[in-house]
Amino acid sequence: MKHPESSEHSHAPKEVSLRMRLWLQKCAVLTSSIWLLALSARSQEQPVTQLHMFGHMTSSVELEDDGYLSEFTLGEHDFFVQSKLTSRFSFLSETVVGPVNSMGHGNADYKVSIERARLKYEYREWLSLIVGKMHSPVNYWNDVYHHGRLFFPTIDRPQSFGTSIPIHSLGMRLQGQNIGKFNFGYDLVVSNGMSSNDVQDNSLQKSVTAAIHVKPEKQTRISLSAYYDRINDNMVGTHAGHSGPFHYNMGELGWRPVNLSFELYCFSFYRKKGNWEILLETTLNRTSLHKENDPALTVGLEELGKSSNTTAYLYTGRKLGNRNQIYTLLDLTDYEDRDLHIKSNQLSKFGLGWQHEFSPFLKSQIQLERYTGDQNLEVVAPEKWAFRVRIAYCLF
Amino acid sequence: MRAHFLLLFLGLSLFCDAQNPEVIVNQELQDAVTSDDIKSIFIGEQSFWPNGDPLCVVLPRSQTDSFEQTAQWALESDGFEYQKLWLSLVFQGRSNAPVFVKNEREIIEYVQDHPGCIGLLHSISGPIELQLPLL
Repeated sequence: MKHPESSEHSHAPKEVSLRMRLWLQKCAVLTSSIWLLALSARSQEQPVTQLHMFGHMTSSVELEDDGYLSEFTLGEHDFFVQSKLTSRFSFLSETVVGPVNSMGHGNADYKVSIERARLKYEYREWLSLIVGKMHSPVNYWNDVYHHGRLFFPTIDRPQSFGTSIPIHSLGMRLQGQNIGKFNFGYDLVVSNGMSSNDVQDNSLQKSVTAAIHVKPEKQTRISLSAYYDRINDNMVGTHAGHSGPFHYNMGELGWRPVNLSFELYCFSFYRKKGNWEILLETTLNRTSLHKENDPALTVGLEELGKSSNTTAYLYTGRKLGNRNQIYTLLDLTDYEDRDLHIKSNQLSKFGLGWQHEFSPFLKSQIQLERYTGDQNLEVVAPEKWAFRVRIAYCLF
Repeated sequence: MRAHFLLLFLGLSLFCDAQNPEVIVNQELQDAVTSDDIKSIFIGEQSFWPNGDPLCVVLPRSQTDSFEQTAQWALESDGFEYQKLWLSLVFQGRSNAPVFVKNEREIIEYVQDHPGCIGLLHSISGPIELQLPLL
C-alpha cells in the first residue's frame, strides 16, 4: 500500500533530506569526538573562573495625553560566568533573572533565562570555534553590550531590538579577530532559526549569519553583517527578540500562517576618541514569502508579502571631566504595511542624557526622551515625553 | 655647545626609558618586537604569540600605581578606563581575563612559573632571562 505522502514529487527531496540528516549526524559525532579528545588532552590544567553579576534599576515619569505615569522598575539581574578551562578552551554564560509583570504578592514572579552559554576553542587569532547559545553578531550593540546595562551608552536598546534584530543564535560559530594591520574580524554562524526555541528546532533549515568588521584604530570598529532565516508559519520563538506588540501573533487580525524569508543587513560604526564617543546602528530588513508555501495560503499575498524596512540609531556622547558625560540619541524605525511579520510602524525617539560613573562598576544615567511618529499605522506611535533615571552595576 | 647637545640627548634618552616599562615574558620569540606589539597585547588585541602559542596577560591589582602606569602606557588613558576596557572585553567573550596579582614582584613570580605569560614592570627589574628588549 502506498503511503499518502510518498508521491513521486516528494520522493527525491525526502531522499536528499535523509542523506543530509545522516551527513549532519556524522558531522556532529566527529565534532564531539574532536572536542572530547582535545578536552581530555588538556584536562590536567586548572580552570580559572570569574563570576560577575550585572544588574540595574530604573525609575521613570511619563507624560502622555496630559496624564502622568510614574514607576520604579527592578531590572534584569544577570549572572555572568567566564571560565578559562584550558589555555585554548573557555566557557562563558549569562543567566538572567528578571521580574515578570504580574499583580498581587502571591503572584510575584520571576523568569529565568539562559541568555548565553557557549564553549569556545581558540586555535589562532584567525580561527576560533564556538558552540552553544550566543548573541547573534549582527551589529555592534548585540555583539558587545549583551545584557550588561553597565555598558549601555543609553538607557534602552535601539528600537530595532523589538522589531528585526534576531538577538540569539543557538548553534555553531567560526570566528576570527585582530587579523592584520586593520584588525580584521569575521563571524560565521549557523544556528537554529528564529522559529525555534532552546530545546528544539524541528527543521533542517538553519539561520545563517555572516559578519565582518575592522578596527583601524584603538576603540574604533566598523561592522557589516548579513543574516538570513526562514520564519516557519510566521511564528517566532525565543531567539527572535521580536517583542509582542510589534509582530503579528497567532490568531491576531493580519496574522497569516505562511513561511517567510527574512533577510537582515546591518551596518555599525563605533568610535571613541578623546572626549567624544559615537555609535551608529543601521538596519535594512527585507521580508518576503518563502518559495515553500501552501499555494492556498498565499493567494493575493504576492505583493503584500514583500517589504523593505529600515531602522537607524545614533548616539553621540561627550565627556565632561573624568566621570561625567552628556549625550544625545536619535532612534528611528520605518516598517512598511506590506510586511507580513512585523506590523507597520514609523517611530521616532529623541533623547538627551547625562551619565555619571561612580566607579568602573557603578554608573547612573538620567535621560529626557521625546517619542513621536506616525499614528495612522498598525503600531500607533506614542506622543509622549519621558524622564528616566537608571542605576547600573556590576558585582564580583 | 656640543656638551649641551650631549646632555640634552642623554636627558631625553633617560626620559624615554622612564616612559617605557620593562617587558618580561616566559616565551621564546624569534622576531624582534615593537612597543606597539606589546601595547596591542595589553589592550586585548592579541591572544597568541607568533608561533601560535596562547598568551596570558599578567596585571597588578587595580589599586596599585603599577596598574595606573600600565593603563597610561598601553591605553593612553587612566586606570579607570583600563578596568572598563578589560571588563568589557571579557564580557563580550572576545578575550580571556588577565591574571591579577598583588604587585610587580608577584608579576615576576607568575611569569616565571607560567609559560606563555607576559607582564610589565615599572618600578623594579626582572631577571635578565625574562626581559624582552623592544625595538
